[in-house]
Amino acid sequence: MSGGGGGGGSDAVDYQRQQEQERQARIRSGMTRIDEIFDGKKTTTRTPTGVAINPNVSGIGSGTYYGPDGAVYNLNNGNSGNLRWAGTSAPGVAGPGGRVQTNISGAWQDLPTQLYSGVDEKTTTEGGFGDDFYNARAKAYNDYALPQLQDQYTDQKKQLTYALARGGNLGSSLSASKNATLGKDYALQQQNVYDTGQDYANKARSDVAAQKQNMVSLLQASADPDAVANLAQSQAQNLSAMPSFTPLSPVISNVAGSLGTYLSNQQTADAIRKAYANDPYTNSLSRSSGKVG
Amino acid sequence: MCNPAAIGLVVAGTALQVNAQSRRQAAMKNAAEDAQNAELFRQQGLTKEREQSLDPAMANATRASQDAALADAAAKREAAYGGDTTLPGDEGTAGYQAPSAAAAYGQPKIIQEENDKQRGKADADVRSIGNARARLQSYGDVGLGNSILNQNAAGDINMLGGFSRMSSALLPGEVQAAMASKAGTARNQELLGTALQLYGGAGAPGTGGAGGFAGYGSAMGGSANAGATVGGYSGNLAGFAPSAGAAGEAAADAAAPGLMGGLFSNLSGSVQPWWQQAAYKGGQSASGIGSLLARR
Repeated sequence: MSGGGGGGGSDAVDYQRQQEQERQARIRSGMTRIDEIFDGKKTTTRTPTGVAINPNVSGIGSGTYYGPDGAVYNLNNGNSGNLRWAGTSAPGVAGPGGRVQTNISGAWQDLPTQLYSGVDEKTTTEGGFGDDFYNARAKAYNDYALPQLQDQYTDQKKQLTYALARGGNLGSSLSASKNATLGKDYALQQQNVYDTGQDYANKARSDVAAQKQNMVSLLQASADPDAVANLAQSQAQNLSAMPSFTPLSPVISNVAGSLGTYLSNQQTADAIRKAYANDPYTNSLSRSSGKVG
Repeated sequence: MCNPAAIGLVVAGTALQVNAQSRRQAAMKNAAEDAQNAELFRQQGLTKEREQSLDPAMANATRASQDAALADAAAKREAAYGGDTTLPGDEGTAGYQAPSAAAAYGQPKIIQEENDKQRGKADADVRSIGNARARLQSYGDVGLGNSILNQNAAGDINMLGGFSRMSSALLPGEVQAAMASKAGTARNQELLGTALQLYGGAGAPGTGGAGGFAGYGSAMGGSANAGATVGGYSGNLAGFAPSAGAAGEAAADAAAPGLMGGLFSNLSGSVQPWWQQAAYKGGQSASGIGSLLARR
């Protein structure tokens, strides 16, 4: 059977198996392309680290080593191992033709003349929707909304200062309390803005995941990686577009307004107190000494 | 009277038939098993891939990793909250409380202290609320991450599940085809067996005949049904376990055509087999093997 199966079979069955395997290969290829479009293309670079060993001179034992290109060599010495000495000179003497070989997939190959004990792996992602994309989405909203919040705060701060000044309370404990309330309100609204920015980022993340899932479903139904990749590419471009943000509504509480009411009440109370102070009757009552006339 | 040579031929023919059928069944069974094993191997590979696809989601689902993810998400949120704690117009002063106006105006110390107290309280409140808010929001962040991770795993697993189902769906056809490809195994041997049976049953020319089916049936361990069908096994043949080796089987296969030829020449020869004799014709117009099979 051409499909690696079953020890015989008709041409029709072989054809069906071949078609199925080709379909699976197409879908796998499409999945890789979808992953690259939405999640980015991952590339791993391997740089060997540690002291270089020349196995032809110093010999080499069992263990995992890395070639200059980062290739992995799982070496196993011994009778059932995958190492052997090949050449005319004695083992360990790097004479003409003397070299250590290892068995890779059934074939004996020379080990590199430099092997390293460690490797530094770095995976880089090129393209796709990564954290930087979502962070940028959040930052875009923050950059949009925070200045509006600052404007609102500045306005309220002015109103508060004027109100305090009108009441002659600019340097009072009342001023400290009201400024603290205003500052706290600003800080909490600032947290709201950051949260909304993060919500936009999460929304984008969710949209990307949903769109990717749509593409995966489409691919599995159609098994047409080219068409789906093209569609995914255009969907990805749509997802990259910045959404329109809603302008910030007035969120800083009107501290000065409540202060006005407070001051007004204070003034009313003072006026009443003064009025009582000028009233002869109340004065006579309050200052009564028990004398008549 | 029974002719021992004819009986021997019938018995040998039957044994060859049984052996041929046994070989054929074994070959068909092996072919079916090969197809099933190939599918099993494919399914095992797909199962392993499915498990690997699920690994990241499974590793992420542990209590420890979820706690760590929540802590990371909360720290990220809190860091954003604490990124800029200066009030507009009061840059250079840390904290969410503007510098005391009292200090600026040289107010009494008690006013300045009250201002600092209020400022400290506002800062502490903001930090506390921010911490709680960050921890609360982190559940949403981690939940979304989990959902996406699971969705990716589900997409891969669904794909591999589709591969698995489609591959399994092809197996019955492959098994049938594999078995069909082995249906011709030992056919020559079987024909040889048939020929020997017929030859023996015809009386092994010049030897007087085998005495009919009842005769060789009784010779086969007392089972009257044995060999009651030409060309197909039926009845109790437990006493005729085939013992011919591969070489013998091959020789039997090779010899079959010649013996078949002998059979047919016998049919047209001067000595008439039993089914051509008047006692067996019974008024039927047909003759030869076709009529024999029809009669039986």
